[in-house]
Amino acid sequence: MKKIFLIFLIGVLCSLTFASCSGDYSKDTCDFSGLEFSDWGETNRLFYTNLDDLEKDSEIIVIGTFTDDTKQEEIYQYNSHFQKDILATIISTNSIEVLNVIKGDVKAGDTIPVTQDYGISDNQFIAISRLTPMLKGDTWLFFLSENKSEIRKGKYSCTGDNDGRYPLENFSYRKTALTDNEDLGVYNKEDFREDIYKEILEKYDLG
Amino acid sequence: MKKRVIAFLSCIVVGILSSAQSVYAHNGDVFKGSYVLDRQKNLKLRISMSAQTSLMNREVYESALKWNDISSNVHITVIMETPGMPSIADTMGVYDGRGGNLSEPDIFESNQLGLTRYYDSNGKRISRDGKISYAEILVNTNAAIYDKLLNKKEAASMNFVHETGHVLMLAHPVQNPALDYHKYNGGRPYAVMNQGLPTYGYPQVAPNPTSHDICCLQGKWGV
Repeated sequence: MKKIFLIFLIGVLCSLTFASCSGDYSKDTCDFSGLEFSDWGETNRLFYTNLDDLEKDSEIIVIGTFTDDTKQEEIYQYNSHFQKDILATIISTNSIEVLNVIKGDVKAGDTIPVTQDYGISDNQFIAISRLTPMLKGDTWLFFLSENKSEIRKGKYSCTGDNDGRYPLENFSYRKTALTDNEDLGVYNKEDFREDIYKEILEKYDLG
Repeated sequence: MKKRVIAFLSCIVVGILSSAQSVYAHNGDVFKGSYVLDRQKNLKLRISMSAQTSLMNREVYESALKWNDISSNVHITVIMETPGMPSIADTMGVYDGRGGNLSEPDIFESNQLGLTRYYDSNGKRISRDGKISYAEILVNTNAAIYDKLLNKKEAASMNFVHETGHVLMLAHPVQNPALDYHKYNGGRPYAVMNQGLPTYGYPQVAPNPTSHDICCLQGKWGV
């Protein structure tokens, strides 16, 4: 009898776990394990080699915490080669609550919507941005620029994608099963801008 | 006995030559993907009307031909689309990433220069490490993004050579000063496949394919 109860209990727990990881994109309680990692990111873009340029191009520089469950929007585009609509990109959105302001017309306590290109589709974790997912409760130093394209209007993105988000010392970041570099906020260590981070540590008080 | 010794020595020589070749095609510098029907052997890039501007013209797009005559398994042709041009079999599309018409939403952010997408035979977008049936390039046709450079045309050309390099399975080179060709610029080789544009601020970004790019292409597809 005990065995049957135990099996039932395990079954219920498994169902609950599965439910929390499926349906609407509220993955912040999940570790993304079980998803195939599909890397779509090979964007050529302008990038930053020093803190001065990054500061100049960022409208807002803050320390902030992700406060929401991430929502994703799948963007389909007609493809004339295959003559059908095809998933072109996935834009994920979260909000950050501002804790400290370094630059910009915002104050502590304000919330800022932030987008990042990644998401889940067909049991795949699709990575487009080089930054790891936006997880509720995680606190980072953000360099933000307002988006200009129609589909992201009114929201902000990290300036230069992986050039624009840095970890705080003494803050531990949760494991995601997508990388071993969660503490840096990137999938591949070489995408972390070590030289800019050194300048940041010398210039800002991130304590 | 002599024949066996010669065969043995030949194997050693071939082995040494092969390993010397592979030194330059570092794992992270090329993608694992390959094309269905070896499409890289006859790669036809069709430049859509939306991607053609006064700056982004034939001269810029034909810069992709710089990848020809490096590997016997790679050949590129550039086709400039004209009004009413019929479809041509097995072409790969080049589009304006900022949305050339209403069916193409603007998916570019202001600092993005280009993007390459890969698809399987069912039209599903896949990773660059898979079995690829079709690839397409999105370019930023906004001349302002090339403003920081004295020679905008060179920058636009470099950007297209770079994206075509991705179609040919070349990656952004890894940052590792321990590797050959990677000793300077913080571990990045001088290469057209580096991200960014060739300005004084990015000494590692080359306007044309360099020795490193050529070695990677040959490492991937053969000489």
